Amino acid sequence: MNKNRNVGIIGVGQSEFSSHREDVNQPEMIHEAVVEALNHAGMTIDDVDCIVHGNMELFEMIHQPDLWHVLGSGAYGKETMRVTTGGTTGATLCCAADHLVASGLHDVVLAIGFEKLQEGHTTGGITNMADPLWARQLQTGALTGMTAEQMINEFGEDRAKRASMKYRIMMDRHAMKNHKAHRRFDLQWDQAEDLMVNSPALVGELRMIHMCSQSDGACVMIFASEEKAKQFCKQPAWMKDHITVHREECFHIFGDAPVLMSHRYAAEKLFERNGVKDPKKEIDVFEMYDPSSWWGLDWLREFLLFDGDEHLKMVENDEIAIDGEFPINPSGGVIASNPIGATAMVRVAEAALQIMEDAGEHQVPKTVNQAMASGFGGTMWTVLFLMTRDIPW
Amino acid sequence: MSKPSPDSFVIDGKLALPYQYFAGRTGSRFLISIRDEKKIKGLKCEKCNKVFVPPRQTCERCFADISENWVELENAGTVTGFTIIRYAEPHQPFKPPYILAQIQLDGADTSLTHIVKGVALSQMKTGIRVQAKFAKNPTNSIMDIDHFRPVKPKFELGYSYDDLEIGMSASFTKTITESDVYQFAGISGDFNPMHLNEEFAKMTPFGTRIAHGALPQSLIAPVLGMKLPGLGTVIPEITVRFRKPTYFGDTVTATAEVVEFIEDRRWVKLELTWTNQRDELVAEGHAIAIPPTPMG
Amino acid sequence: MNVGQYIDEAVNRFKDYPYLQYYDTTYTYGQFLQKVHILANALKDLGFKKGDFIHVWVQNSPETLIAYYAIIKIGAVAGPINGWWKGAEVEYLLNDSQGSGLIVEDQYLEFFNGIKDNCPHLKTIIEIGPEKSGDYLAFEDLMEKGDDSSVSCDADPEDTAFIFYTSGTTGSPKGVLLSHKNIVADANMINEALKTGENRNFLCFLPLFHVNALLTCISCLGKGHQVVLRQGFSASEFWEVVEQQKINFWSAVPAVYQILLTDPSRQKYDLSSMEFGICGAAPMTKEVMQDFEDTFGVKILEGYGLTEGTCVSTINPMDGERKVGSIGLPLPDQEVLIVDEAGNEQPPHAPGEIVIRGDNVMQGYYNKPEETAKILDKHGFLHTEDIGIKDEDGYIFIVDRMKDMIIRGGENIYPKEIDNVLSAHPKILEAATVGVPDDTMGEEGKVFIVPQDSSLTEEEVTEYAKKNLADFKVPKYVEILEVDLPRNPIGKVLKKTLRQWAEEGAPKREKGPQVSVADIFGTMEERAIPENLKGIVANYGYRITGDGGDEWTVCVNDGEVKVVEGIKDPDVTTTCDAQDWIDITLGKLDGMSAFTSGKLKVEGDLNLLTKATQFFKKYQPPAAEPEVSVADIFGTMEARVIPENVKGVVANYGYRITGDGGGEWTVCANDGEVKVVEGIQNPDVTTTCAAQDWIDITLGKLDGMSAFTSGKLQVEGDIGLLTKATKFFKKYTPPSGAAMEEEREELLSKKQILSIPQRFATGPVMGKFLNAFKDKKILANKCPSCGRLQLPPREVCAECVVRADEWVEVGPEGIISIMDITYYASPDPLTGESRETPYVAAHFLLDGCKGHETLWHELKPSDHARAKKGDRVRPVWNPDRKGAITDILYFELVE
Repeated sequence: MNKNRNVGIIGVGQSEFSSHREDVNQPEMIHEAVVEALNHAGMTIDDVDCIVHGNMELFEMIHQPDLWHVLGSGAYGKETMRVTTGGTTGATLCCAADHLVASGLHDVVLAIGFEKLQEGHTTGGITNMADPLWARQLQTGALTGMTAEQMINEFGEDRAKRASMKYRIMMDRHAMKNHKAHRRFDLQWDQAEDLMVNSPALVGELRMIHMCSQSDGACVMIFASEEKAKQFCKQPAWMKDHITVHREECFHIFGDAPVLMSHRYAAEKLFERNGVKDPKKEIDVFEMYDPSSWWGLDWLREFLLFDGDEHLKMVENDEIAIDGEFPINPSGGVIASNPIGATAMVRVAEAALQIMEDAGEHQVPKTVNQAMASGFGGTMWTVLFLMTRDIPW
Repeated sequence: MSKPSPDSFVIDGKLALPYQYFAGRTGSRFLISIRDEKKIKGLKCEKCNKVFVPPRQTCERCFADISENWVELENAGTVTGFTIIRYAEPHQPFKPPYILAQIQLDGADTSLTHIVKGVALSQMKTGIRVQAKFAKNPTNSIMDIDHFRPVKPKFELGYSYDDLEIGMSASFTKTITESDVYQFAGISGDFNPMHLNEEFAKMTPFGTRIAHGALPQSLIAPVLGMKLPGLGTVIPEITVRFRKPTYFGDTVTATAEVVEFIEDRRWVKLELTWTNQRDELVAEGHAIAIPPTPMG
Repeated sequence: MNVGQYIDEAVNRFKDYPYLQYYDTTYTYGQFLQKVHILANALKDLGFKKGDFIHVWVQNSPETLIAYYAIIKIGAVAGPINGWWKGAEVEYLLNDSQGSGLIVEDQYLEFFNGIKDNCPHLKTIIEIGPEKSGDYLAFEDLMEKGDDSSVSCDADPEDTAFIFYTSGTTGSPKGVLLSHKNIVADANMINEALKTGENRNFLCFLPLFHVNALLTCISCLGKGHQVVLRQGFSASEFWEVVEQQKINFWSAVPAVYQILLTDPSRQKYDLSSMEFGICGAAPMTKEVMQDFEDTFGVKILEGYGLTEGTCVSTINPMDGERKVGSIGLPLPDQEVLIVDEAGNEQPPHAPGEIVIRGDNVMQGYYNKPEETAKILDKHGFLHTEDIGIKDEDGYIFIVDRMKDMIIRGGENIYPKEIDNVLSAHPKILEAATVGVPDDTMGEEGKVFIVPQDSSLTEEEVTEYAKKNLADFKVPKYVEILEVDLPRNPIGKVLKKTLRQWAEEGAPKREKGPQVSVADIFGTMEERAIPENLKGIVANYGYRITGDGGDEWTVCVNDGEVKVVEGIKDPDVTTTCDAQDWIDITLGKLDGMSAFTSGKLKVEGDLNLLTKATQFFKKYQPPAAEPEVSVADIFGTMEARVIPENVKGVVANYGYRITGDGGGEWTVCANDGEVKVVEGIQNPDVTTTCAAQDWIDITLGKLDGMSAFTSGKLQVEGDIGLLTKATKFFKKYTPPSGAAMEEEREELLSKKQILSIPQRFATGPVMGKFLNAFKDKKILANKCPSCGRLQLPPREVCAECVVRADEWVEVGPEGIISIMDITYYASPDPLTGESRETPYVAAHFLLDGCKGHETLWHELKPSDHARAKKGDRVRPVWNPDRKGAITDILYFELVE
């Protein structure tokens, strides 16, 4: 694998994530993040060549939002493209921006992901849009307790429940360090037992506390060619490689089969072509798209290509903590903030911030030479990114 | 095309998608000002010198935050474009047909899309002046301006240069009486006995009193000033040749006809004739007219 | 002559002249009478006859007058009902008069429906309003009958025409009976006193349920005047109406004149038609009267009268001397005397009771002979219970109300005298004295003070009183009020309430957020709105007195604002007490009322000050923590219920609120009704929460879902019920937080539900699978490469991506492979209803399948508790076949 030219991430901006953004309309919310990203990169909108814009239109019922959003995106008269993959749109936006720069088509590309969940009815949307023959009557949105059930079967009820709750509290501890995060409960370790019993059950052992939030918010990233990146930024986060893997959204929602083969497949392929032999050692921080703490826990095994209970041990031994050996989601992750159209982009942006050493209070206490970020969407869609501190090619 | 399978069929479904749209602080201020104060406000970018209506928090040109630069606009503006909605659809605000127009409010640099009423569909044109009419029952939406209506001009101006055509004519008729002549003598100071003294007049070639020449001549003034071209006209030149006298009791018709365009100055030349009830030519001449320019 | 004849005569004389102008409608005398006749005939058809009492509960409108006149025409008695009264007062009235008819406007129906079952005498009820409720006869329908044949009134002059209920200041409301003679006499007297010509324009905005407005409208008939009727008073409308309708005179109360004087919008209007204004109901100050006359060049005629005397009894003369503070001279044909207790007329300047005699004096109180005897003496004098004096020219001045007089140890004290003296003190805005019972002296004076300056002390008041009043008049008790004096809607001070306050203590000012005057001035520069300041160069001086007060100058210089301490070269100077200034800034006290009441004084260019109200953004007080208790929250729940949202819900909600201030409550919802009881009783769902968290949730500081998610709020029982409950109640507003709530900027949003039809083609493979349900068969298709079965079938194998066209029949029985109990269902976006939870979705391994070749479906709800992995199941077929997966209802356990 070789790129036409190197691409660096040089600016990141995020609006405030919250469930109550009645004070701004969509372009105004986007504007917050665009201004922050431009300031972070030390540039003005005039330095931007192209805008890549995306979210899932139907979640807010706005037709062609990118046109309306020009006021906040700064796309007036610029080359623009819209991405509405509607499965992990935020990650696709990063892929598109990276391609546009790497190809040589543009030098500076500004990518925007956003969501105003309070304006739509996401659960209603997902439920209604599910396959009308197989699924609409049986759908419960994006919920399933299947993973919990399987992990309990495999590792025993007590161990599985404790590990997932530990993962959950750890993410909240991380979110407490990120002032942009939407949900910051300040959960304490001694609440674990109580929450395991008292947090309301949604499906099986998947409880409310395990689930991600519904947030409003926007994320913006600026991708630049090597020359421009060096000109504007002391330490860009270099986009080394990324991979997108699909699988048919098989047999209803998840099927009674090893569910997310797409994660493992993406990781295998990506590591192989980038010469990663021992991901746990070679990758310094991982921003994972973790829609619930059961999934975050389970998917760790898939991404790191483990077989046994190593992923559980990593959680049990605090290795995934911000100051641990293999920190996961120093930002608090998707469980803390989930503006859907921006969520996957926030993973890439947060990983980049760790390399750039601009993560502030939630900066991991070590040098990040290589960071990984994942996106997940449409239930069978994985995107995986590798970013480096040193220029890759 | 493949053969349809006997097993294929179609299921009808329905998607219900509820949503709510937050106007945000800027949008709310705009609508609340319309709703509560009946004032349309815009946001101004000082740098680009542009005023946006509906307001935009950022200037689309220079991307500056302009959210505090409120300016109050006139509730009137000019139609810059329009179309006529002729199909019916359940979410429409009014029963079609109705006019959907782009209206550039005075003081604004962008056009506001809204509905124009009070003008016949066939008479609608761009450039007309319209004024906002506010809704009685507010809905917290742009429909708090119920519609726009044409601004009625105070005076209807006469024909503009572009409205005039060669051959257009107009006239004014009046019977000249003894008292007209006496009053005219008083106005002009011309107490010449040939106009006033019958005994003296008997000695003149006319054998009786005749009216002042300028009296029938003045009958062209109402034609040029009020009919053709009409209100707003300036007449820099009139030339007259008198042909026949006007006796007391004569009925004189003054007529003007457009005969020539003076293109470089956008003036017109009119041929003038005065005739009496006997179809005699009393006087003839021409006038140069500067037609009114439409109010904008 | 009776009132009906009075009307007919007027119509004969002025047939085509306008009589009534109401917004866009104008009726000539002829048209108006036609309407009256239509209604009169309709009332007759309904069975109403002479002597029946018909009440009218309608706000100012043409229908009000039409109703009164039609009732009079058929010889019945019209009974106006005060539009400010509430259900209980009206209920008393209707039962006292036992009237059989009621014409009621829809805006009062809510009150009326609450009391109508308690008013058994009402036979016929007619409603007025744009939309018929359908419960009563519609006024509009009566008018549509259109029988306008002339109805002549055969009432005797001594017959009763009107029954007016007066609330008085003591006791129950009393029905004042006014005869035809009374009405005609007073109307004629008014016309004679006013000496207007004919066909003038009279503006009526006072309520028609008072004699003042009504009698003026009737007297207008006699002179062919036009009555321009409006629903109520508004300053801006006043000017507009005066210009448009060329108003010549009007009738108002003193407060109206004050407002008119200070309203700047008049400058746009042509007011040249104005000739004079009548003023009654309360005394007018000299300044206001003088200012008004100077400003507009029109006279104000102060008058006096009682409902018991039909309307006006004295008025300042139109063409003679008008004495300020005097209620003027008696109307022609009325005797108005000042008498002592024995009934002897008093010499000039000696105080005594004002008594009135003439054709205008009422017949008596309805069914209250004793009360009538108290006020109507055997010589035919009406005792007003007002103390007055006459001067040598015969002008009458009111000294006080008789019943307000304090008798202290045998000495008469007139509270008004004390109030006038104390009001002159520079730190006192208003004073009101009442008598309080005293064991030794019988009565003692207590004065309530509204301070101009909050630094005023009670000692200062007493000292000042001692210096300026005879010793026996000095009030024993002084109370400085935090609130305004109690007043009735027309501005009269309610002495009755004051006596109550003397007994129970006066109310305290509501506690608001902690705000200092220094804060207000300190934030002014940052609150400036530059465009509103453009083009203005001026210095505004502020002298804020009392606690926390100081002096400031706000220097405005073409868009820029500087606030400096001290007063420097002011163009206009405002003087105000600190607390009032804070109240004005917070919007609790309206600046205009503060100005008219004298709480805010201005020297210099008043126009500049009016402009200044638009210079600054709203002041946001630093957020104070409202004090909220859990008990408050539950205590106000019943009052906060939104009945339609509780409809159809029958459930008990238990609340176990732990920690400080906690307790246990049960909220019992019963189909639209909610009762909150202490303790937890038979709960269907129980919520446990810490007191502070519960308060935070209620105030919206903690979002309920987060609290629930994090376990701060724990729920046992039917959680679906709890989700519903979030819509049962209106928002809780903390007692002191109300003002803050209003300060928040309004943010708009728009809601819409789009519904999009969709068609979905099954294609041959899914279609075959679904069609097989007809024969109660379940089909799978087999991958030729890996050999696995797919359920439901796909055209290609999901793994091997080769065509899978071999069909295999499986099941229909099988076993549970894995199952998910779902406790939460998202509500349907259209109906808001959620499906019942919990329910079980499971993978079923049907007979003939192996490994992961499962079918995802639901388990029968009643089986979910006992089902486990490996249990045998069979499909239950849906009799109502739709061609979808739901043709299998669910799988159930095989016993």
